[in-house]
Amino acid sequence: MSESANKSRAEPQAGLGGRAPGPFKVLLVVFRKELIDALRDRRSLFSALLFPLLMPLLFSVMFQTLIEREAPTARTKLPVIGLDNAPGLIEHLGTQGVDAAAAAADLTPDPRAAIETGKAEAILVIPEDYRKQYEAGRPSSLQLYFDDSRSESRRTARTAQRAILGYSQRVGALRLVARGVSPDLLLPIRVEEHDTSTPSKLTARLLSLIPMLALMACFIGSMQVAIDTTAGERERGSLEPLLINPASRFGLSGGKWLTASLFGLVSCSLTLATSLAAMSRVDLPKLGLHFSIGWEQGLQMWLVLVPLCALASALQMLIATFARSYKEAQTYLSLVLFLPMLPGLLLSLSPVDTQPWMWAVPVLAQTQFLTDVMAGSPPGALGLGAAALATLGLSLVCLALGARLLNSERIVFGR
Amino acid sequence: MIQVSQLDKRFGAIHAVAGVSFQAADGEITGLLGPNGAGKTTTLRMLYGLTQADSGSATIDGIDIARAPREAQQRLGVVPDQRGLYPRLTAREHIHYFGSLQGLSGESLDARIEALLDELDMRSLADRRVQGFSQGERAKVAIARALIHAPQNLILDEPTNGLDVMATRSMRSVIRDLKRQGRCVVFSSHIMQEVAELCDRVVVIARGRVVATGTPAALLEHAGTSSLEDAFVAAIGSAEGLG
Repeated sequence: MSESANKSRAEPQAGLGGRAPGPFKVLLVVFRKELIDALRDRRSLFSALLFPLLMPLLFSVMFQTLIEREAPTARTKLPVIGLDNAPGLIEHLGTQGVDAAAAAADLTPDPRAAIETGKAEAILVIPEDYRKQYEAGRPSSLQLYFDDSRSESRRTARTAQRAILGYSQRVGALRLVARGVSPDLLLPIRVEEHDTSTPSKLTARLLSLIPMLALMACFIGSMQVAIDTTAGERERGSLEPLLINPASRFGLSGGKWLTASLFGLVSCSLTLATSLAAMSRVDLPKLGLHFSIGWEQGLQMWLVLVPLCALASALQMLIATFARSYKEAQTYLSLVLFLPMLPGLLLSLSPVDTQPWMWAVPVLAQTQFLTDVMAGSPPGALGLGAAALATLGLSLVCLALGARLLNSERIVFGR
Repeated sequence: MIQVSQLDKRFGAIHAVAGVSFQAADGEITGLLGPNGAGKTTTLRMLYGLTQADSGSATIDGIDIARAPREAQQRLGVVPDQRGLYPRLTAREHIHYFGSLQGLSGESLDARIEALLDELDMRSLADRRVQGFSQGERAKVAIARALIHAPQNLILDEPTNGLDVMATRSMRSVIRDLKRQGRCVVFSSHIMQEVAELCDRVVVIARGRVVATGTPAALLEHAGTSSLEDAFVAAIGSAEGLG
């Protein structure tokens, strides 16, 4: 009846609508629109690029500081008042990594004030009568000014103190030997120090942050797009007009999901790439580091994380669909951010070997694989495949649930 | 043509729509008139398939919206209660998006967009992002994306709400053009003057029920009053809730 009614009217534009688009066509149409929309959204771009831009900065600053402070070749500068009074001591300090130099004129009158105002980390004062006391074989006292509450000052003072003590013991030992006494009598106990807080350990801890941050980037990169296409669409009142189109709900959700996933993937990939690039510019051997993350490990991590991008966006979209506003969705999703950190925390509390059942647990599987890559044992193809299947499967479940919610009046019109 | 028979919808204890029936013919403008909260929007939402009726049915050109929603939606152009736009997209992109979702593509879509831009006198708006559009300009985008597939049936929920005088006039002229093209237009309003001026048939709704139907003139005659406002008050039974 309608067909004939249409034809009977001589209007040119009646019945333009062709065949209703299939789900896949809808998905592509929505993907194209959401991509344009998201690329114009400063908030979405910012969250996707935050980690990738932050990483090189973080690494160059941290490594530079490490190299300057902790490298084995680092030497300690020590201003000395009365430098000429003890040439033997100064020479010994030089062999122990302490560069003693005559204190600048502004430090000399009041060394205490110079430390307090931060003009120097530590100042050594050698009194005029040092040589007289030394030659008479009597103890002479030196003053070392430093500020124990400042770590750099404490470290300088400690190094200087140790070097001076070493010199004192050597001189004492020589005097005993000159009198025919064994210096060992003075040292009933000898402590050998083994400082394990090497720079390489610190660096290793820093490097282990890379996979963790790349994992977070999967979530953070897609978060704004996930919110904007669900809670945002509803808040600005564009959801109702959108749903009146003869378009499959799965296609609508799928297009949005593809956009969000792409943002997560780009964010995660760039985070890995910029971290590796920043690292390749750092002189790791200088820090005494024997291993590093190369492009090969980077690629392995990337393969582990790709499926997770799909899940991160699907899960965040599903949760944001329940929120009435952008802000409410942000509150929910900032809690969801703990999810990717959870397995990492648990594993660091009680490390376990990778068990096959873990492959089927998204996020946990990825965390474990990343740990394996860092330890130099890349996951097998079987494990990777199983984890990818489980993760993509859960993504599809989230996606389908989200698409179903679009048929719920409570979600579409709910206040 | 739109046919509505015995639509019924409850939200918990509230009986929002209680057995609404009416018919809207091609080439006519049918106005749903009623105070705020009378059930107009809920009725329209059941017509375009976003709300499921508890009972009763609605057909678009003979297609049951509940049974074949996608097919019916192809024959419908809707400016719903919520007409949010995407602030970062241009007017043209809005129209293109909705055209694509209706299954149009390629040159026929582009040609249709060009025709609509002229028809609605919005060529100067076409390539500006809608962020910062006035209410009238936003209303034009909303109506353009509803018309992109040249649907035979139009549903407009309070289309002049929030528009200034000039924008209201241009919206009314668009509605008259649609009638002239032989389309079936249903629009809701709580403004009697607007309904009297535009409509061929009026359906007065109050408390979820149809309390009167007919031409504006017949309604006046029936109520024995000279103004539609008095006829309206007589129809709904009280002056309560008049918008």
